[in-house]
Amino acid sequence: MISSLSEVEELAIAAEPVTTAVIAPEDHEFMLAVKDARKRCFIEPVLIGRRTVIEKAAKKVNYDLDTSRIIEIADRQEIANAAMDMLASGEVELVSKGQISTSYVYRAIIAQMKARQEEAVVSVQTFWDIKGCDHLVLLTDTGANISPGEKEKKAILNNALMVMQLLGYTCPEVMELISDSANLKDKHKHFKLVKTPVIKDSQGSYKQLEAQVLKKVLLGEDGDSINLNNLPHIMLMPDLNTGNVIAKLDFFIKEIVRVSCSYTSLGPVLLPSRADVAEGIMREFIFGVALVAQRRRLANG
Amino acid sequence: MVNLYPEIRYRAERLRPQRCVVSYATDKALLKALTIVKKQGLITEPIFIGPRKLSGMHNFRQSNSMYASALMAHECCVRQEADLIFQGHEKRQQFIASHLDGGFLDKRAVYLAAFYDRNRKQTFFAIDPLVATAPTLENRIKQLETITPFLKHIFKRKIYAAALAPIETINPKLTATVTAALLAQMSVRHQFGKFLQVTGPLDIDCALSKVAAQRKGVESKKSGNFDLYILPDTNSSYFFSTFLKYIGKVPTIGVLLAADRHLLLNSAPLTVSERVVEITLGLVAYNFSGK
Repeated sequence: MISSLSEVEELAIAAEPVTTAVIAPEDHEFMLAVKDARKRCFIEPVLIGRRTVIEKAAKKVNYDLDTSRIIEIADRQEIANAAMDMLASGEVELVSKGQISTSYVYRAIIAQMKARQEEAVVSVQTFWDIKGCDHLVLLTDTGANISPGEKEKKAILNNALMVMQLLGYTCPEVMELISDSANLKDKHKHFKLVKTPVIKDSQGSYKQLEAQVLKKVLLGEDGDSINLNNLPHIMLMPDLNTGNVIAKLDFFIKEIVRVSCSYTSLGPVLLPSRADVAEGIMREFIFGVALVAQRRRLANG
Repeated sequence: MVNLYPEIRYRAERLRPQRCVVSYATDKALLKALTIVKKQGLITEPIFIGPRKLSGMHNFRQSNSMYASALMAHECCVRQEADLIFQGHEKRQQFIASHLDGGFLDKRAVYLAAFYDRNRKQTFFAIDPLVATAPTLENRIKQLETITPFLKHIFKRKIYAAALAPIETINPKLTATVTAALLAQMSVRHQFGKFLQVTGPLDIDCALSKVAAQRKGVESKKSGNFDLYILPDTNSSYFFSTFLKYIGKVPTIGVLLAADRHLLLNSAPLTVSERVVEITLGLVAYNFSGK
């Protein structure tokens, strides 16, 4: 079981470079991360987008593009589609979003899922490496579904289980976050929550945590002190408003290091935020490469 | 008292002592905190209602159920034996629900969570992790009308608020972005008075980090330094508070503000020092509302 991002990095270091479709790398911080990731042999980038803008960003960080493949496409949706086509065909093993609205990438993923007749629910998995916690914590969905219903949440959980499996979490603990207020509402309706329908009825290998407030999970049986090791491996967010706010609390809580991706059956798609600086983007590349390394390992038996 | 929440402590200076009743009092930590607050001259000898008398409960009345305790506490206020009701060990929802049935909370009610940022050595606030589950624009306006004068009283200066949403551009499918934009525009037109400036919609990274805001091209001089965070809804606000408190270990207390201002909630688990500040915040709010 991979329990920290430093272990993730070890996996990435040991891996062969991963051919990566980079969608619209048009910003110097992003390009700096691409340059460093290539220099450290994590990725072999294929840059897709507007050549002049890509060249301008590369020049700013002294990145010599002569040895990098560039696919020139101007239309934003076509850029994202091209990257996902390459992932589907196996031409690349990893996709990373650059300076493009995430909605283009989501649409491209959904198109691929539909073509493969797979469940077309895209979700974002945010991993936290928390100081004082002995495992990685996955928060999902933190970026795609505005107000997911039971059906969508089951698909979100399935996506999460897929990526956790890759990291060696064969039977992760899952908790669907329920606020005190939600409990209050249910009590008025005389509906006793034991397990949420999503947790109770989903398929796959995982341990069901009884629906309860996070406070009680963290305080454990004795209820005296907080034990971060009690955090569930997977926390299902109630909606996008919550997922978005919580996922980025690393901006305030310095003990948290964050990486995110949207894991699909085709492979990982990295979705660094436009707010991320090179260091954070690099961390995401490393994470993506580690996931690809694990996919390769599983494929080779 | 430890040096947390200095702004709240300053506002408590020179307050007259208040009479209080503790509903379902079983909590020794609360008893300790009340003893400190009483020594500070902020309260008189409290009335304790609960299943059994603990050492230090000089004015004790027995009640074996949480619901009956709430009713008895309510009666204490009606008979003018107490000005405020403190939540003891009962569950918060039950405590509030008991008093909602009694018609205690009005539409302007808002739960104001207060955090202490150890890095900035400053208090900041967030709304609303408790009262309005899916707040409408009207809810938000009423809440801001309730809290703005109170925060102005606490800080004694202009208040800078971030209206949060998942993205910083307006998307009609994301109600939070629309509400945030409207609140921001209302503040530009001084609809909340001249002491509240709302910026929004802001993604939380832009609200918490100047660098992130710059990277996203969002102009916000107060990024990383807001006094108030307006969260999109109860879920996001509740978990914002919960994660900051339990994972970030950020001191977190709160106060229920309403036109009718008799309830002081218990954000347990709290250290005795945090509980003292929470009671103090409640007393400051009570006195402010009475002005």
